[in-house]
Amino acid sequence: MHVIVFGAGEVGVHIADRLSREGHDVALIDRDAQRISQAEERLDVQFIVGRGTSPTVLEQAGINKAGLLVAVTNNDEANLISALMGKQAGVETTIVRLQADALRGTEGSRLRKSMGVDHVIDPDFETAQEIFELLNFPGATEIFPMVGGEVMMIGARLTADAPMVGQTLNELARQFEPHWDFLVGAVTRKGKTIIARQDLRLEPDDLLRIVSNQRGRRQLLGLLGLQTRTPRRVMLLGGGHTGRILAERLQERGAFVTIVERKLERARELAERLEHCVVLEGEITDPELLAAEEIGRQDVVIALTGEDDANILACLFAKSAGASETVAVVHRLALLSLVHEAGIDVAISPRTAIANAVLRFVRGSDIAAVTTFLEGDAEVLELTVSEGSLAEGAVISELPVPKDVLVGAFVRDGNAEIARGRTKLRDQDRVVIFTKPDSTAAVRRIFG
Amino acid sequence: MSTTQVRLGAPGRFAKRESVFAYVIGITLALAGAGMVVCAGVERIDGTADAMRFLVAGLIVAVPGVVTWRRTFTPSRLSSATIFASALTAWVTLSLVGTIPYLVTGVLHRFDLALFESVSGFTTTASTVITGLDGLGRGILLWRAMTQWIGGISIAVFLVSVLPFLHPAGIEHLGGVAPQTGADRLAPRVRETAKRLVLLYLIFTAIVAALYRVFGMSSFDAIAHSFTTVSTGGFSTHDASFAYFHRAALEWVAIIAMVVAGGNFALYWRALRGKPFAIVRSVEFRVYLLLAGFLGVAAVVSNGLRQGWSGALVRRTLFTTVSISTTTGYRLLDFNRWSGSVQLLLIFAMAVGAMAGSTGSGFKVYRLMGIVGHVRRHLFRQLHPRSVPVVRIGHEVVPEIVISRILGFFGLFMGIGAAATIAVSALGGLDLRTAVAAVTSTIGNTGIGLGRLGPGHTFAGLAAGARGVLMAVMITGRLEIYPVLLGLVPLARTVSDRLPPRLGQALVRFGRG
Repeated sequence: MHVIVFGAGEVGVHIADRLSREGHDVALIDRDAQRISQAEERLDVQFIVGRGTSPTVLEQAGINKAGLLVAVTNNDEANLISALMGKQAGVETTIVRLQADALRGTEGSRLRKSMGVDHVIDPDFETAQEIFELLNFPGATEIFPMVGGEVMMIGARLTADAPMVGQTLNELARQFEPHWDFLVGAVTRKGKTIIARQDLRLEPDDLLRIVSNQRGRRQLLGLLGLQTRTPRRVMLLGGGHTGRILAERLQERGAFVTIVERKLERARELAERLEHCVVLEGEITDPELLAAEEIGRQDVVIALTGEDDANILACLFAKSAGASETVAVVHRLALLSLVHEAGIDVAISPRTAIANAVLRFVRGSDIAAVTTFLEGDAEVLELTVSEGSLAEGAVISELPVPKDVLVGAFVRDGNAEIARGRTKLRDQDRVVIFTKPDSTAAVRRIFG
Repeated sequence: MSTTQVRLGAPGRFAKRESVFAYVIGITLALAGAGMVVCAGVERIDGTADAMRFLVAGLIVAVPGVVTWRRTFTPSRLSSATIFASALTAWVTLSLVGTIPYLVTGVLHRFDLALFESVSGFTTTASTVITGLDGLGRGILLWRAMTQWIGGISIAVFLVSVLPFLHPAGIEHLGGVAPQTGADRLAPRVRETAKRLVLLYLIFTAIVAALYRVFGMSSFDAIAHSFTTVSTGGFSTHDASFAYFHRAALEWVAIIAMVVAGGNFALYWRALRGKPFAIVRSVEFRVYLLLAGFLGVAAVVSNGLRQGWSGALVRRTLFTTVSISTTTGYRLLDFNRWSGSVQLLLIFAMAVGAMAGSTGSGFKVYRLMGIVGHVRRHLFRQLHPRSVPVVRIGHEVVPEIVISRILGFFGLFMGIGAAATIAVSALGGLDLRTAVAAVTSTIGNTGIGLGRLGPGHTFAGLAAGARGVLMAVMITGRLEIYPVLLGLVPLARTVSDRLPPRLGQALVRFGRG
């Protein structure tokens, strides 16, 4: 498929990279020649310097043969206009980044429709969502709700003293007979990801991807050696769009939220909007400010500015001052391993959220959701068993799936169950499947 | 000073003269004269000789008034100084003209006493110098009630519809309408807003009058009391005030009507327009009810413990406290005999008064909330020096200028109050309690004080000088201080122009601080 990506910021570059690696034919447009030249070194795509709202530029990018247009600049209006132009030129699907709440919400639905917008993504919103989920599950490094929140995809790193360590997955599973509420789906060890097998023995520092239903949450926390608690005192370093969304949701839940924002004007805006938050004006790496505001007594410190180094530094300071949990938003993937080694509890990249959102649309209509991970190349797919497919009426253990495909869970009549070898699948079951990217085609063939 | 598009009268067919003051004086004369003619009608029904006196006085006042009003128009742009000055002019004119009925009917023989009664009426205070109300003609009783009714609607129109247009960014708060966004305003134009207010006021008056009649007042009493209830005025047609009636139902009706009259009319308008929850959602309204409720409960508990519990005591105590906290001023129980702490609460309630945008007076709940917000932020900033200072009143963020206006108002309110208390005490030979209560009660336009000027007493026995101070305090309090002080600026300018240059300059310099 020919894909046009408008906007070569972090979001656009990542999408272009991801899609081109999957074999799509990508054109990347940006006004800023410098940005383009930076991206040029890393990506194998077509680059065009110009406005994505200009007919000539779009034509040059191959708008007439494009099947997908992704408009992800920082400018809502420009994104909308290029979507409209794409639709007029016959592009089948448009994905538009919209940041204004009014445009994203139901109020904006008519405008979106008339502008030819098929799907809306907001990386900031998705990132805020992910951080919010993580706060409910301390110790997890990743968490993605699937099948409308019935099933959770949880990523967690095993500590040496976790009860799970040293057991094989088979032994682990046997403890919970006859009823399973969670399942280890994939394990990343030393940078290599394997789809789980029965005889795999868990080691400290393994990064597990676990699928769990709502009941399994508590069990899982115990096995991972973690305690449940809801953070009461939260400090947000950086008052951007993500920070604001997060603060709103935390404030709604009754948490004491402190926000540090560098720009006075933005800080004032936040203070006016967030009635129950304390908004401070200052640098997030100012030790005096952070100490005066008792950063060490916070339950969670989340650094989410656009600057990786500031985020990491502030988290390190918080950790050394005694903050219970620190979360850093990190944009450069190369820094990730460093972040873990330094003792920061969670690193979040807006890219995962973006990739998940875009891939969902690229993969086609039969796949409802795709979850990818920052580390490791496993994917988790959510799809519906269709009538007449190979999977319908089949017992899972007898499905002709490749080795690196594992059915993790299924939702039937609103009940989320962990899949067993003996489970018989039915039409309209929603299944959650662990797989490697190469096997997605096989999965679609069997279930779709 | 800023200018603004306030057009009260448009040029018509005749060649009209442009003058704000003539226009305002014309309208007030017409209004007052019309009132007198109505009173003449009542006297005519009763067949007394006062009918002719009222009629003649009314015509003498009304005719020149109407002529002046119809022959003038206001310029389309007015400076705030002019608007303030014309408001002051209006109240002074009303007060002066208002003395005529008292004098011509012989109810009061001295001009200064008549002026006091008139000022107290038009400022919706309830202080009186007249005893023996039950023996007076119905014309003059209606006139007393009518002065309050006219005063009530005039102040509402001035504060709610005229003032907000002076400083769209913030004077709403000074003027008293809480919402600050354009969309929230009653209407985009002064005229429209004023019309709606008057309509609301008429409907409210009719409802209250009907309820009073249904629950046992005579038709005349019902109308007269409805006038003084909706205006939070407090004049009665009986010396015993509300104690005359002895009806539980009437007292309940009055309690509710007074509470409603002390609430923001803009909220009621929105409620009528299909947003009934605007009232409940207004934090200011909740605080207003909370304060009134707190005072009521405190007084009920205190009285209950002292005098034994009974349903009648609860109701009558509640009536008395609501009458005070809405700045109405009907009398029922003699709170001179209540406990000292409850009396202090009453003084506080008189000072705070009702909601902004109501006919009630006082410091206003809204401003009190502003002060509380300011203090909270101040303390908070001590703990978090780098926090961004935002002040909210209710949930609404208010600009810094509003807070500084409220603080300025607070300073003036306290300063004028203190100065007046000293003056009244010195001129009238009053003790501390009486002096403080008298000034608080008149600056908040409640009208009943404590001690020698408390329930059951009139202001007739007070020294004339002290009464003069109280009159000034009533007008200052009713117009919310700024119009009186700033309205004097043009006057001071005129005076200083006529003085020898040196003296004039000194005066100006003093005025500028």
